[in-house]
Amino acid sequence: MILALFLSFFLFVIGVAGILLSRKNIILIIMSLELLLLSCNYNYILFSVYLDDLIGQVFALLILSVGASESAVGLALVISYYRTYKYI
Amino acid sequence: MYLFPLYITLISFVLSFFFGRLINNLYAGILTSIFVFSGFLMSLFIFYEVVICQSPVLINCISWINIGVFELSWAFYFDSLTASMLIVVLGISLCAHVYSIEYMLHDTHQIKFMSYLSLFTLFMLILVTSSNFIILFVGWEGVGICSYLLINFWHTRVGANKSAIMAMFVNKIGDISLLLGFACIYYLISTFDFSIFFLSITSIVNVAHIFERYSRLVNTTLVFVLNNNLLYIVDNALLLLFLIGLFFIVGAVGKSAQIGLHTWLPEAMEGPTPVSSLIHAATMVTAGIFLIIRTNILFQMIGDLFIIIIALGSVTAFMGSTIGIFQADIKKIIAYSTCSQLGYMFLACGLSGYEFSIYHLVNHAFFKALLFLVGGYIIHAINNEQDIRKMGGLLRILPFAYIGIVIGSLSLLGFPFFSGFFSKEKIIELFFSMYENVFSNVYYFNSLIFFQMLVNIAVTFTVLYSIKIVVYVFFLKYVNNKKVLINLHFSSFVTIIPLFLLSILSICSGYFLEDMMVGFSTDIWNGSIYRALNEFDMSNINYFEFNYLSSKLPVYSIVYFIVLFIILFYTCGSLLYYVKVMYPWVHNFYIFFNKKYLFFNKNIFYPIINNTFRFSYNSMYLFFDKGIIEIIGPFGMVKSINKVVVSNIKLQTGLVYHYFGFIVLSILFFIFIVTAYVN
Repeated sequence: MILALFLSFFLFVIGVAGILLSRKNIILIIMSLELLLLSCNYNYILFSVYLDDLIGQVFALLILSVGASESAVGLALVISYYRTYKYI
Repeated sequence: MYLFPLYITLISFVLSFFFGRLINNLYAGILTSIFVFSGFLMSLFIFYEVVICQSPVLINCISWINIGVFELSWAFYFDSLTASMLIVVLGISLCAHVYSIEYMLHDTHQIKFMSYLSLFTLFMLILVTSSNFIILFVGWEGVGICSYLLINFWHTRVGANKSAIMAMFVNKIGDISLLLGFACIYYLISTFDFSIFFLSITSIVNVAHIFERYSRLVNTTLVFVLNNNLLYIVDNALLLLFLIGLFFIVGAVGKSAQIGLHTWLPEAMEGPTPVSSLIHAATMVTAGIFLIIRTNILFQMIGDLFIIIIALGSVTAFMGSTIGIFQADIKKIIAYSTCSQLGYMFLACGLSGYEFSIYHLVNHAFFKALLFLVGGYIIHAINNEQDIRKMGGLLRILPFAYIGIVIGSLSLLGFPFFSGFFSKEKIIELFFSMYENVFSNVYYFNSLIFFQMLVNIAVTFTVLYSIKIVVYVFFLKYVNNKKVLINLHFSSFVTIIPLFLLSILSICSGYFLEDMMVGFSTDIWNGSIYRALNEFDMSNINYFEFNYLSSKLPVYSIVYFIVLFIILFYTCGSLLYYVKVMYPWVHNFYIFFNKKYLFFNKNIFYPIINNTFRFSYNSMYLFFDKGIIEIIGPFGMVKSINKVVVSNIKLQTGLVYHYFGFIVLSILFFIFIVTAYVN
């Protein structure tokens, strides 16, 4: 169990480090945000299995859909930014 | 009806101050004069009802402060003391008003001047009619403020500013002392009402006497054990009463220009002459004397204070007359004579002849106002020249001024059958009644002899400077510029009227008022003044008769010295000048008196004032007000906010990863704190 939690923690740390350290690449920041969301999702699923409660998995599905739409919005913003300023 | 003089002076002030510009100078003066005249007439009615018909009146107007345990109201009390003061104040004020109609006519601010005069009169009326100490203090402070405004009336002159500030400053010492006295009174009886205060004094002193007798009769320790608490309370109350007396004396010293705080009085000569006459004759300087007379029961019941008053009064009388001799400014000479006469009044209070004090106050008000107004008349005539050495030979030019000055001077120096004679001689005679009272105490006895000697010398010197004025102004050869005589300015009939009235009053007021105010069997002071002479037995009167020659010594000395000084002046005048020029120590002696005892102004007052102001500027203002409070307060706050904001601006980089870093750091910090707390 604790090892699985370590996995999600490392995923989260990788996401944070990606946002902190990527100074040039906005795509990377969006990917890191996705990674943060995924690590949270992983936790939800893990605990729903561990506590035998389906609500966690349902909530993980909700987060996935919200995260997908959010990344879509982010990518759209990036594209429109690129169209206006010709650089990212 | 009783409050009519108060209201009418207030209306006079308000109308002339706010609406005076709608009418011209002349009509504003006439208007205020008519108002004050109607107040004067009403004061005559008040005198009739209160003094002649013997019905004191207490008028409770409105409640001022009402907080349960402590109640204070605007209450006015009219007894015989107040009524006689009312006549003096309003009479002199009327003369000053009428006089300044013409005297100040060509001044641009004459309307303001008249309104200030009315305000001055109003505050003095509040002072004399008050029925508790706080209302008295309102009048007391208002008189001080108005004296500042009036002395500073020609405010473009530096001298006027200086002397006005000096008057405020010196008076403030007395005011603070008076406030301390009020604090003691509140601590003692929790009220400021005169009647309760006087009642409590008598009861406290009586209880103390009973305790004294009781403790002599019974075993002392037993009494102490039984009544320890009560004894403590009575002792405390006696001490407080003594303190109150001391504080009141200092307050009266400040206001009445006794020695030590007298310097403002001659300096106040910078104001216009009607102001000088109003301040010095009736209103301002008599406030201190009035306070002492009003609280006479205190000074009568608490022993040992009388010697302080006697000392202050007699030394002031001596000092004022000695300085007056060596002055050259006609107004300054008269001012120092005021100082000297106030000393006599104070002295009479110390000798427990309070009715003699008020009697001398009334007479003095008339002849001193006359002297000042005639002085102003002369000054106005000869191109505002105040130096008597530049006058001379004015007898032919201003004969009316000569008559006025001679009448005023004779009255002032106590020439027989002028008004000053009746009051001054009696004050000096009071010493003889005092000797018997203090016979058991050798220190008091000796000091009384010394003070009587001082006063007798002061009487002589009064003769000297009065004659000096008359001779210098009217008889010597005229030495000033010829153009002054060509441009001579004669005042009109309006100015002469008050001089005429005051001349008549200063001749006959003493004679007319003697039996009523200080006669042996008079009963007009019922309740308002404690009369020591009522308790005289026949032995004292015999004593007077027995020592008739010694008690009438001042009269003989006055007549003798008048003749002597006149002869000396014409025979040895040049010799005296020769002596003064030839011998440096004589010249130093002259300078010592001419510069007002040197040490008072230069060596005592100016260092005190300078150091006080320097201290208050350097430490209080620079260090505290502009230093600590500013750093902690507004300026420091603004500066520190600026600093914090500038340092915070550096955090606002506009870069996402910086913000995110702060977020992560703060989360880590939070987690660290939580874990540390949990563990």
